[in-house]
Amino acid sequence: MVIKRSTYIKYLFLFLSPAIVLIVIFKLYPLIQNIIYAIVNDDGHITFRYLNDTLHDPAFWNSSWVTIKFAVITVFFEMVIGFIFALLLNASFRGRKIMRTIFLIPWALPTAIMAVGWKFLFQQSYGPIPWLLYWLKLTKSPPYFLSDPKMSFIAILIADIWKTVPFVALLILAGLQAIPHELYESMDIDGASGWGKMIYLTIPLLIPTFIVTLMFRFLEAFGVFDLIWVLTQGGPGNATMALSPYIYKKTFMWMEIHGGAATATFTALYIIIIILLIQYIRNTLKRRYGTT
Amino acid sequence: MMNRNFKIYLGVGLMALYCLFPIYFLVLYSFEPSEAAYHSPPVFYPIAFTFSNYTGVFKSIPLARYALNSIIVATSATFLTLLFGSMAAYGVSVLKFRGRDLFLNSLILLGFFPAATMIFPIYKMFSDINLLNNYLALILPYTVGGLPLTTWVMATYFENIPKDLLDAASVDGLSIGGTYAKIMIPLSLPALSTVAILDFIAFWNEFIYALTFMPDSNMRTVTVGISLISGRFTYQYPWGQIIAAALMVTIPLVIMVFVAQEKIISGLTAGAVKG
Amino acid sequence: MKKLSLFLLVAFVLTLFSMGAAFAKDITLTFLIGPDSTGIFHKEVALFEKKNPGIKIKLVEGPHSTNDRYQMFVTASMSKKSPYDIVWADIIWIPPLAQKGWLLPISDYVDVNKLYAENFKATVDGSIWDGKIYRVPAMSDAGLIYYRKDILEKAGVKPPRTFKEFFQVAQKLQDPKNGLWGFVYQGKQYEGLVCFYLEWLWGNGGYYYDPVTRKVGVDSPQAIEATQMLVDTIHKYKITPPDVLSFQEEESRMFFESGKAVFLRNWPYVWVLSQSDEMSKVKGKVGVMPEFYAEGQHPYATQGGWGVAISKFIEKDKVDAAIKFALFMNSYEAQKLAFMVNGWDVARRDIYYDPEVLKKNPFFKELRVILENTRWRPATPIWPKLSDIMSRYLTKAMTQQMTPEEANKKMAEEARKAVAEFWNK
Repeated sequence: MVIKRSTYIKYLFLFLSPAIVLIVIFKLYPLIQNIIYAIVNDDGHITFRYLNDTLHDPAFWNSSWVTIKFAVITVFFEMVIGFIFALLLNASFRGRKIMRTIFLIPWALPTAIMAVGWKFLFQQSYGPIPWLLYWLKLTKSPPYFLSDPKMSFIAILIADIWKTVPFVALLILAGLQAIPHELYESMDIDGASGWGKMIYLTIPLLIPTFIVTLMFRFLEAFGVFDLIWVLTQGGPGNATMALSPYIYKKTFMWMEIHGGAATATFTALYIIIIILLIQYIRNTLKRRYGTT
Repeated sequence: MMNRNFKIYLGVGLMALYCLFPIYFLVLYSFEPSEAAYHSPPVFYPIAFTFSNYTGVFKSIPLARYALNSIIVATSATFLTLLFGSMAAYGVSVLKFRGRDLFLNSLILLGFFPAATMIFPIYKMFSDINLLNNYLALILPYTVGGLPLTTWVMATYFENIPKDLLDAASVDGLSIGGTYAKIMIPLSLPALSTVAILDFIAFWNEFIYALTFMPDSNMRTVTVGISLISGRFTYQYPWGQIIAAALMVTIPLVIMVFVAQEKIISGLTAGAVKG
Repeated sequence: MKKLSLFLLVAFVLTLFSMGAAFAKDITLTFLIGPDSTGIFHKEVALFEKKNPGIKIKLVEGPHSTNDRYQMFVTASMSKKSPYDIVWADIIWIPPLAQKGWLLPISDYVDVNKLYAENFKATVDGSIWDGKIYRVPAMSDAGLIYYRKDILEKAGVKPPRTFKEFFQVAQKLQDPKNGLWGFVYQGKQYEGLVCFYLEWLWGNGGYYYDPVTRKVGVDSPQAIEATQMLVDTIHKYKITPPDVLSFQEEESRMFFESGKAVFLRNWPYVWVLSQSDEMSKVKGKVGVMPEFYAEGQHPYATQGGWGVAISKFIEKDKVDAAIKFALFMNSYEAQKLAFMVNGWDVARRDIYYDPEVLKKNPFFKELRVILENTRWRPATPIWPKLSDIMSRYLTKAMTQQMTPEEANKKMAEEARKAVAEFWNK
């Protein structure tokens, strides 16, 4: 396109400004406010006390660890299951329209309410999940999902994966639909097998989609809140206390506004690290496959 | 061929089981008195059938009014997110500029900064300019919340649109704005409708902002509204009603969202091909 | 262009709303409450408005979750301009909110001695912070023990009083193989577990935190023993299902109502529901009694309950009306209405002697004795944090990641740190 530089700049400004204005007001401004709370005390003096306290707070490190474990495990399973679902939904079968509606339900049920449902499903005395495991002879007795640190963690993993697989599947499905049919047809002529098409065509072409999905899911999992707040309240023994509920608790329940802000500031550092990591992966893949 | 079909239907069957297994119990519990769900060991059929949870919801809360609020807020925010997000994506991936990676990355950094610490600054801003209890108090923050995902997905999608299409457009004498509106948007409808679904549902389900920025009882959204269902006593939790209310709003919502998506895509792609 | 029109839109809506600000002659008070599903608040307000023309009360119903409502009030108060003039306040909210200066001290407007004379002592005690009163109590609440009268009678045992008797009886009467457990309570990591544990801690002669001396005593042998007993319910005597770690009030109530436990620790609300729920299997089979205690000690119940507090940011000319309303909610008439409509365990004592009340709910006779002997949780602004520390380490002990001794030592250590940090700021 041959366009005059001044026109180009005018258009660039026009296209970016609504997003930028809104983000400055609703994201950058609160972020700066927050950093101010983290380093300025009630008397208006600059202090590193709150940041330092956070670094020496075992609960913060526990929450960091819980959050990272949670994000890595859930995102891994969501990507795998989501990819399979997307492939299925992209295939032709009878009732595809209905399936494409049904599979959205987990994503559409409000987490805060579904978490109440999960509490029931997992409860040992009344819950169908422990008893089903027992009746299928997978466990010796109905397991106690919510009464044990390890099992509670598994329970929130299951609940989160269940909910977010549709999100992943939908994004990958959009990516799948963008692959031109001609490419598959030309590979059919070459006599490629189903797996061959998958490995040499589908997956490489989906890499940009995978990366976007992975990044968003990972960051979202990093901020997990409602589910934990309702299902376990971070217990037992803080085994499921992720960063967001911890910050919320600090800020609003304990009213340690400065402490909450300092913890949030460190969480922002985590996010920067994740973004840099994903940027690195993107660049490596770009060199290898020549796509973003 | 039989084999392939069998595999697909097996897969689809498992997928349906995955999605509906927990839902099945919610539906079951919604047709029983709350106490019936506490049957041990659990039974997979209703032991005491009743509609009282469903009728009870309407006695407890004005569900229709709350649903209307949610529809207004979520629809407006989805529209604005798609508009601003796709514009920004166009700027990033077609117009291109130095610092575009920085732009995209700061978008996510800001987007995923813990929401708990954002509540107060935004609340104070709205309180100072008297915007609490106004639909905009949710529409604007939600729009911003949807921007990172929308911009990223659309930018990725735009980048994959073949360059020769754009060149052809400029030969046809289309301006930059014209290319965006007449070429890019129609071409990216599948991606747009995907993010529209994801954004719409996310806005529909948002809780903390909706709770804090809409202190007036009449301005509640559905998600907050459902949390207002309660029993006679503080501790009592009539969760049969809560589940019934959630199902009553969610299932039509999913069907509506899906039908709307199909309609929009088929309608607009048809138009685009003709034009 | 688009940007411009957006700004115009925002500006337009803004003007519209600032113009819409009401210019009413009546005084209107906004009142932040929980969900009002039975309409009791609406009925009280209608009664009040009829008697006080010129004052209107606008009810703002918050969510069922107490924490969410607390967050609403905290966020609003942080902006120093609260949209809520009055708030339905939990007893544990008073010290933190008062200390922040977000509640209006009402000592100059109400007669504290009169409140003490007419209400249960702990409901008034819990409304006071730093020598000033901030809340008019309306509802009382206290932990107590429910038991299966039929099972005890059949076995010919008297209701146990001490811990020792209790553990023996519970072990003897339970039959977990056939789905009958000895004892259930609130065991999840949250405030409810703390309320229950404090009763055992106090009943065993221990204490957590003394707000006057600012001493933490939860690493005493009595306290460690109390934790040991809590752990033993699950792991040694096995009278409690491990599931209890996920129980809040409702789960434990349902467990008991479905006939699966001999003893239950819960709040007074269980009584009405266990006798009226359609599917309750324990109708007419339930007895109540105070908490258990160690030999030579007293039974204690943790005080809960709600009342009316006034925001510090209320407009000056509304204060008198707000006080009037707060006192109205504590009047005999309003309190009796709350009982008749909702069965609330109200704060006024004389309600518990009213023949009409006793006829409708004979349980109130026993309840009165329990409510007279309650203790309120340590009155300190950092209570939410102290409570969090306690519930965290208790669940660590209950899941056997720590011994009771380790848990209580860590609990004390962290609590001391939190206290020191707060007071040396």
